[in-house]
Amino acid sequence: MAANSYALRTGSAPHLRPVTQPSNKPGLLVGNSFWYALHFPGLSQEGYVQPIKDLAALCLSVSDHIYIPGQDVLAIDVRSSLRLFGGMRGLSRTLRPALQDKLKQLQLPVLYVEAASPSAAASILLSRTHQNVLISQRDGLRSVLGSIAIEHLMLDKKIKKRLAGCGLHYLRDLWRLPAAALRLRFGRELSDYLSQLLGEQKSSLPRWHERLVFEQSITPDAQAETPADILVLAALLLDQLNAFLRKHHKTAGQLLLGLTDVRQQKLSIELYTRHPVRESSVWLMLLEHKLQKTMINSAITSVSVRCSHFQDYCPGGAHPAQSRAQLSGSDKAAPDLLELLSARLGKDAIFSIHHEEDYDPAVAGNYQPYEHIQAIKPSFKAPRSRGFIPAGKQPCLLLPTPMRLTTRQQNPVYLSPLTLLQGPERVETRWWTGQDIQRDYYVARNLQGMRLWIFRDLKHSKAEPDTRSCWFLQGLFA
Amino acid sequence: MISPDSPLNKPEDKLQQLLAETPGLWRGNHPHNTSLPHVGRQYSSPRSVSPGMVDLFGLPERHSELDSHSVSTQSTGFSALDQLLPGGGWPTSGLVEIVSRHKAIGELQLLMPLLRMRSHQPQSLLWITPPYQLHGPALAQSGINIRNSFVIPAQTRCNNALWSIEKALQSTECGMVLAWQNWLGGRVIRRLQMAASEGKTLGVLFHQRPTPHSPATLQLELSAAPDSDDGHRQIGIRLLRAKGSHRQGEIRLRLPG
Repeated sequence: MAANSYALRTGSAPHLRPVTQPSNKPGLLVGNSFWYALHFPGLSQEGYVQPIKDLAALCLSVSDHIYIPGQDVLAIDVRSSLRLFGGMRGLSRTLRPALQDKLKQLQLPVLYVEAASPSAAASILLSRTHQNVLISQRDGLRSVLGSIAIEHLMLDKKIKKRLAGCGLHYLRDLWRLPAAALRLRFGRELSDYLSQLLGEQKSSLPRWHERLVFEQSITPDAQAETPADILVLAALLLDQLNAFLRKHHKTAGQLLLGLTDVRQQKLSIELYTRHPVRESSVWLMLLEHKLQKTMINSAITSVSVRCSHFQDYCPGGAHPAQSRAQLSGSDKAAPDLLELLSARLGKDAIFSIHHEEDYDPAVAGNYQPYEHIQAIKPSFKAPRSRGFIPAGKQPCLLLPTPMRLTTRQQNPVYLSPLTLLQGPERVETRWWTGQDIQRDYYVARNLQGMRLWIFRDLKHSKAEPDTRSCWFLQGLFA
Repeated sequence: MISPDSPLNKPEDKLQQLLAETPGLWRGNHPHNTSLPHVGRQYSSPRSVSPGMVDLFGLPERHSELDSHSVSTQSTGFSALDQLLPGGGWPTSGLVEIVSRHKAIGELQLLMPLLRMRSHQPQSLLWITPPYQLHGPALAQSGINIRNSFVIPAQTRCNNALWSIEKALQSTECGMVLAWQNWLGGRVIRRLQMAASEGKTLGVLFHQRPTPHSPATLQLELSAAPDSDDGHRQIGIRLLRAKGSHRQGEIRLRLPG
């Protein structure tokens, strides 16, 4: 195989076989990416899923665009990294010690096959067929790939069998045939794959992202018997979390604190913040309030912190659209008031007031957990009503469910007989649900001076004309 | 309606026990707890006022109208009420006790202009244990920004509600706190008044019966009044006590709508 002097001159690895002719074009690569594939023969057996991810995590030091097509091979887009690492040789040297150490640690053979080309599919195929080769130009792909047997292709078995049945055993056999005819006879899958191998067709490869998890535990020499002791131990772990977040440019909005007591019973405490934070002081203050309402019966022997949900760190001023309060959230030293309250009262103990335009008051004014409101605070402007409620006709306080009123001489009574002041105002809705509402609403007043919002249930009064009262108390004009 | 947790159902010693069960807020009142600094203890001596904190009872009272004018106030939106209140309106910070034997006599209507204004400020409104569910559309119709309002519902335990009131009053993120409690003792009121002074927050406490010698900034009693001749709703307001003022009085106020 002829050596590619251009690739050597630009820093390609000598242990790879350069093959293509030197190009007159400036620059090393054709296209937008250059893929460096690594095949680990020791991982070909079934059951090795995690090791390839561990190895991929090491490769993040050279590029963040990693594609993992299988459990034994990964491909890295290194186009943007070549200059920084001094070409393929430097990049390969950078990765080698870390990969070898990891393979030793995993008790796997310290062996892997490298291949690099402008095509991800070609690099993967070359490394899987154990060809340590560097192809710097797309034009050289066809000749190098030609010697690879069809059985090595990442294709469906049926297609491979049909190709073999037609006497096509190597890729060079396919190169001789017209692409349109191949597509017509063997389907689009084959023709697309061949195009990808030659770098003629770009495919969107799923980018592998490392799943960050922070999990640390601490086992003190002396057991933690008081909340203060637990806080001291938690502070150590939270400082580690802070360092972890800074290292990965992340922030966290929730974490799980685990406590194990002398009887090996585990207690989990979840902590949440409205806006993701880094500072351990925020978590500590929330934890202090959580511990105040947590019953801890036995001494604690171990404390652990687990955090698996992260968000990218946005420094203050990076997003002018965000409110000042939210920006300060990433660098704050104390939790928000609502975070503090929810730490003690519980996550579902604080609500925001819902406003839905509906004629049924029970639907229109429900509460919803305060966390459901938008992360970015809306402008401080009251929502506009579209005329669903006439001004002054509905009360500020509503009963969760309407309360049936007693009657005296057909007149409703609440503490004392009621005098109807305004009404009726008819509400008929929800007929499409089968649980329709037919009510006549009145504003009434009793002898104590209370002003009430009551209704007469028309549907009920028709069904049971004389048995029970059809008057209900819906709300109070406070 | 009195909840089972309400101090109204308990004698004083039971109340002490209840306070002691809430370590974050009430540890200062616990007789066995001497290790932690607490605000309540500062009240034990009139001379032990820490700098920067206002002790209502540590300062000698000057019963003059001039002192009342030094309290920052804002108009209530009702001229008759402005004339009744010392300073010509609601205090901008501190604790206001509103006592009314019955609900739904117009107590929130009285605060509507204030709520309308405060809800459109960056600080949020916190409604703590309102007796019934707040009706968002009606509040919005009254001009209150409900997006800036948060609610702690009525089923919250009494000691947790008190703790929340104090934390909200201490916080600068909260512009106004409205809380409903059947009755609170003078020591608790004083503690909440202190928190409101610290956070420069306005707190409004709704009671069913008045606290004697309340240290709150303002104590008003509301009563139902018959409608006016033209059918408008009216409410009776009696000024029971105001900080730094001997003024007392009673008016009948005509409510809008």
